[in-house]
Amino acid sequence: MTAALDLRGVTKQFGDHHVLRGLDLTVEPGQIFGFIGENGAGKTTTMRLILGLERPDAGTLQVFGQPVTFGRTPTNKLIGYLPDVPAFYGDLSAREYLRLCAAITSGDPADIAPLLHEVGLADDRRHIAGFSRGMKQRLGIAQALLGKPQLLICDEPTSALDPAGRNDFLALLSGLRGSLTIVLSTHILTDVERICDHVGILHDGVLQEQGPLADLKNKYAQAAIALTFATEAETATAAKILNVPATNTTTLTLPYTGEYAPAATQVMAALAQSGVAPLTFARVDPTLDQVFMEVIR
Amino acid sequence: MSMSWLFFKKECLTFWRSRRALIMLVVFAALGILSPLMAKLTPEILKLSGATAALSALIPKADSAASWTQYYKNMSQIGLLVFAIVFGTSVSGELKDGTLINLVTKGLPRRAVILGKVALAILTWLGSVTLAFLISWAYTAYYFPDHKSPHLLAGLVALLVFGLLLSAVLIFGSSLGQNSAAGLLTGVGAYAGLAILNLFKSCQRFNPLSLLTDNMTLTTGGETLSHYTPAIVITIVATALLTWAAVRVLEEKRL
Repeated sequence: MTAALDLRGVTKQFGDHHVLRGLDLTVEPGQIFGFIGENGAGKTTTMRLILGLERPDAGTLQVFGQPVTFGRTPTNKLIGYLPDVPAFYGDLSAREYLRLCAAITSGDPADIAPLLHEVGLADDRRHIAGFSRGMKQRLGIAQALLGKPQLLICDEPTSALDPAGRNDFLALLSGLRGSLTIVLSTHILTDVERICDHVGILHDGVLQEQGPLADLKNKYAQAAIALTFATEAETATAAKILNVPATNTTTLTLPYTGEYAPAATQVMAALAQSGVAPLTFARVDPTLDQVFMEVIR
Repeated sequence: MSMSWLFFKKECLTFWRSRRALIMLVVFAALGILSPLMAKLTPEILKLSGATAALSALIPKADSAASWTQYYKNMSQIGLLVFAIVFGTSVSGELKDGTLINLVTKGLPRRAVILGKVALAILTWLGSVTLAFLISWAYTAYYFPDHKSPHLLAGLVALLVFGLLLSAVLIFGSSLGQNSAAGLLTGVGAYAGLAILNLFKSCQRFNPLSLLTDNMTLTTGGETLSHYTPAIVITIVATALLTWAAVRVLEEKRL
């Protein structure tokens, strides 16, 4: 099957600054791919290269098997793009702007009304200049989805949204699962954990790790049991019983391997035998933060 | 061409809604009214201000030639400046705001952006100058019913043709960078260059600037438009070349 996105040995530098040093990246059709990295890691540069807005110094980029070329690349017909700060013509209404986009992509103007409804801008007749940041982001997703692209590229789409706006946006993206391939570039790892099934971690100009999110968690992060006690003295006693280093707080974190149930049973039995009762007992799942920190270490 | 037409329509709509069209309309209509009015009132004002008989003798008589002289002076100064301010940031503004990114990544050719903007600038110049001309013509005919300006169209055509080059220079200049002054500075630079060339008498027939400065010679019949055919041809060719250059610049530009 042809990859939705295939980058091989892509390098890019600005002046003396090497942003990408031979980036290899593959995104298969249908994936929601979280492209993560620190600020300045080169995520936006990679997105811009895929869109033909930058010229690579070396390497090849393909979208659904077609090569990307600088300038007016035909592969953009397959892509919907949502930049981090989408810029529009303030003197147009959302509907007029989408009509313009539809005419460029030879899209069906009949798609505009449902799209505006989907992003919650159906009844808004105002000019875009009067839109809030969140409304502009919603219009951004509408324009990106216009023309039914096969690949949706979102570059830091939630970085400036309030919690409610972010929640709505992620729900919208999640709802697109299965209908197209999505590349979500961000440094907000909780967003990636919430909707992405595959992850690539960019660091030092190369993709340090790539794969299904669950596999990466299994490989790099460790699950744990978190216990809290009433006093520090109780915590110290429990630490001694469970053979873990004591802390100066009332919380203990016990990493475990394998299944949760036998590990939890073992901890509870040890504590019950010594008559120490925790106030809370909780399973702590491995997080993408842990994976990320391990990978870039 | 369909993409250029599409972008041109967008340009027209935003040009109108941003009130830049209104500014052009008001300024050029005012210039059209003021030109004959100033020609009519200047001698009166000078008389009222107590000018001496010797000075009054030096003041040109109020006639249609004085009115058209005032018109071309206004067009080549205030009109030119307002036009340059309105269109000097045409491309640089889009580069600065990032508004082209969405459209270009959707498949809008960068060529269409330049062609749409040059077309709007040219049509605005033609419309504004013609509007001011018609107003000026009506008032001049009313105030000064004489036959001292027999070749009105020749002077107007020269000014209209000069606007083609002016439009292309401004769009080319504004495509050079995000700096909002780039278009204006390119316009000023081009004007200065042509003005220096105009110092050489042998160049004047070929210099596009003569289409802006010699309008009264044409209007009063001192010279025919065919005398300036080389300047007209050079202006049209330079307009095409600058438009092409602006396309090339934008095609290589990072958005």
